[in-house]
Amino acid sequence: MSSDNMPTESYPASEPADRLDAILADYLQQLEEGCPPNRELLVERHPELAEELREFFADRDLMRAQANRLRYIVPKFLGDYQLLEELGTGTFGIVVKAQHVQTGHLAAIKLLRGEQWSSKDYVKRFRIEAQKAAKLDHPHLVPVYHLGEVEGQPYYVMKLIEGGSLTAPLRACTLQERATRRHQRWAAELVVKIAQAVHYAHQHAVIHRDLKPGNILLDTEGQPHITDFGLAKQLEEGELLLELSEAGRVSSQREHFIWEGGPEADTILTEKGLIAGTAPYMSPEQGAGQDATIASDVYSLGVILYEMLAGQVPIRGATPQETMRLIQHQSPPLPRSLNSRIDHRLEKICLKCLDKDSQKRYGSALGLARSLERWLGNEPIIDPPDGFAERCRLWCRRNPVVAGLGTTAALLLLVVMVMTVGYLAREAGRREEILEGNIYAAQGVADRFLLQLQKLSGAVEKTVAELEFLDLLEGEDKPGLRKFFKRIHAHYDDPRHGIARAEKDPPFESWYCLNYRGNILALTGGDAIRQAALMKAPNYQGRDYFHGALRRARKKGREAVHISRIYEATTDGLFRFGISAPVYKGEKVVGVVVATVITDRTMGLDRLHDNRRKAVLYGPKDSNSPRERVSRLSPPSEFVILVHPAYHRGIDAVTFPAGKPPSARPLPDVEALHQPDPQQAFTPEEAGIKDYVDPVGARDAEFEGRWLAGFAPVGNTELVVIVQQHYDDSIAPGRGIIWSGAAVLLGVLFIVAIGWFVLQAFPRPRG
Amino acid sequence: MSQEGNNLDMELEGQRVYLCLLARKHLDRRLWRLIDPSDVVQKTLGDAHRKWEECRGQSEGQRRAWLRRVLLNDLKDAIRKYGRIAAHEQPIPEAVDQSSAWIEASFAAQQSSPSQQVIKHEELQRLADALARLPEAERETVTLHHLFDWTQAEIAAHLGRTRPAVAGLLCRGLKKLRKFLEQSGVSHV
Repeated sequence: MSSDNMPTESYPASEPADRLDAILADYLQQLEEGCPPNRELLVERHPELAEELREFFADRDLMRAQANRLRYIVPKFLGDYQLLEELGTGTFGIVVKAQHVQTGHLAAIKLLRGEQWSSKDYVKRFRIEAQKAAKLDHPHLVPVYHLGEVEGQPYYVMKLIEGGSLTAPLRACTLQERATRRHQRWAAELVVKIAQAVHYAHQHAVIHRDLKPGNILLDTEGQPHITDFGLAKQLEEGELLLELSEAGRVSSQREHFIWEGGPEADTILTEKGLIAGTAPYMSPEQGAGQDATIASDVYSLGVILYEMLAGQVPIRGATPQETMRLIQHQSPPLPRSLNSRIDHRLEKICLKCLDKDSQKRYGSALGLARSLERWLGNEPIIDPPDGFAERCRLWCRRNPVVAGLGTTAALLLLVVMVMTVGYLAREAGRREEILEGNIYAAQGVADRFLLQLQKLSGAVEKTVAELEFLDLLEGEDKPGLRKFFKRIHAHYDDPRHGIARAEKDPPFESWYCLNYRGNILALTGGDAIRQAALMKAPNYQGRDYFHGALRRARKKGREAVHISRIYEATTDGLFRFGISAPVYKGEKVVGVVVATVITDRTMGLDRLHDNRRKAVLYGPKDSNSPRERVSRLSPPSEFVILVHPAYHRGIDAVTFPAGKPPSARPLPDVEALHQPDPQQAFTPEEAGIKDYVDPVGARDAEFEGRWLAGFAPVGNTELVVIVQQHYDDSIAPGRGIIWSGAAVLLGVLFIVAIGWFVLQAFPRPRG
Repeated sequence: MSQEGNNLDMELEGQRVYLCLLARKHLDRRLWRLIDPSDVVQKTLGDAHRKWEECRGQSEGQRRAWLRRVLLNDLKDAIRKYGRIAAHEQPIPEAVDQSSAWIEASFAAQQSSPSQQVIKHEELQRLADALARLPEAERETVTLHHLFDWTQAEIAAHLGRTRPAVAGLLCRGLKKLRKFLEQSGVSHV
């Protein structure tokens, strides 16, 4: 703090008013010497006088603006231009608003000043550089119209940009404003334009050397225009930079045009008082005394971007010299540490410009412009490259509709899939449950059928044992036999005699009596036509009920009763089966008694079906001819459904079309007819069929479709019980939701598709 | 008649600071010691009083333009007279030429009188009115420092005060001036 331009430490601690006067006197003194002190530092150093100092600066600026407007109240001319008013003091001199005397065209004239103009050599070099800059033609460069000289001091005429430099809006910007995305976009857009213009100049071998907000003029529409191109001093290698206070003295009194103050704060001058740059915007290599390159201008652009984003320059020391020293070594604080709302990708771009190693910066100003443009367009940045996740996020931001729709569709799809899987699993479980229930129910129903068959068999057994019957048979007393069977038929039709049943139909359709050759001796039941037909062709030795009964000849009692296969009667074509038993005289079989059971809804059983579960009884079919005997050992050719909820008594029964039901009964042990044998039961695969097709469905629409069917054998007979339930019963009630979900999904996918095609057809304008 | 005369005196007196500023603006400051601008203004006010009939019934702007012409003529006369008197003293020919050129330029501008110039004179008038309300030392400090770019040291020598005293005058003067300008309704930057 012992530097010459800071002599404020020694103020006497007297009256505050006296101290203020002393401070202000020093301030003015330094201004006149051409090294303007930093106002902020001054205020910081004298906090007790801060208010007065700020007030003085405000009053002074107001008065200076007023005085500048009135400076040319006495008309003054420069070449063909009349000077109108002073616009401001720049690094190189003053800028005056002027009007061409003949054309009335308004322009800005920059009057260069300083002792360096006494050097002819320097003036020559300046002219070469300025002429090169004057040839530049770019919308964001301030065009130079004319180069001139007055009293040995060069000046140039350029386009008038009314609106001021970038410095004022940059300083006016509050932290809150800088936190907005809009501000960041504004900064990026502005730097893109500036960088493009700088790149244009670079292509024409002009390096600015002193890019800073003060050299960027904003017109009334906010468009940037770079000024002072190539005017900063080209340094000789190793040229020393001296303290400001010793250089740049402006002895303005003897000059034609008088300006107040000195060069702008932070300006670095060379030993001859030439301007080398502005400290905070100077690249490390410029600070080290090397000449500026393209990379140096890129660095300065980075500083401008940094300042616009973070609200302060990256590195600033107490003096310009200290600033330059710090720039060589110190890393700038991360912009996000000063303004956490800065986009980290923008920060990366900014820091790349500020790399101490000029090789690691953007190779050209255009590279910076392109990266910023990509950031503005939400496109992935190539340099420095973005990660994969970042690029995905950006794609989504560029295509928000598609990304949104896609995400929605994917989520919906996932939900529907999860729901579907859940429901399908539930359905499968439910189906399993129903099937097991049906198998269980089928076993119960089979037991009931067996009981019923046993009861019916009991009736046949009893009849065979009647003494009266044997006498009648021996005598072949046909009328007597007929009478006898009529009585028997009537007896068992009476519910009081033990065969309980649900319907009014008699348990047996008819009774026959055959002699040992298989000829019918007598019959009862059925209609007259059938009776007559039966009597016409009286031999039935081929029927299973006949020879089955004969095979039982050695057995006694219940075991002698035979349950026949199901046969198709030659008389009326209806299916029946017979319960038959042999009749003995001593050891000799003299005849066979047959009681037939015809197709029915329940076969006399109570509550066989409910709303959902249907019980069905089927069995193997006998040979078609009553005379031809089919071996009991050969597998049956066809199976017939005898009891079915769709039937009524005496209906034409349905056979399995393929000849065989899904679960066919293995050949029963003929020796143990009535004993239920668990060994003979179906395997689990045979007992439960998930997609059973009921052949009755071909006749009755109610039985169409798939069924969940449980199978169970009836005792040791060849008869099998099915308990079947509609497949649809297993469908979970939530299935409707799945379908509506699928419909919504389809709709969304449709919208996605339309949205995609619309986007393809009308591509968004980019950049 | 006496009432009218008083009014005229007051009006002319009100223009004194404005005319002083203008006179200084037209004279190279190296001539100020030899041709006192305030003497010229004094003469101008006398001339104006005599010739007042010339601009009777004209608008304020026209009267001010007329007054300027009177001042410019008086300045011209003063310079011419100085050329004759100061032949044996140290002549400052370039300062004289410069001042003459400025006066001529102003005459020329007076003829064409672009609207921008009129506005500027109105502004100068307002500033002069505000300056007129300041104490003498403060007015002189502010005027010389801001409108004539004198350094602190020069003002200190001119007023016979110390540098801090000049800074204090400047500070207080600016503060008051700003208040007065605000009162007269000048729009600020």
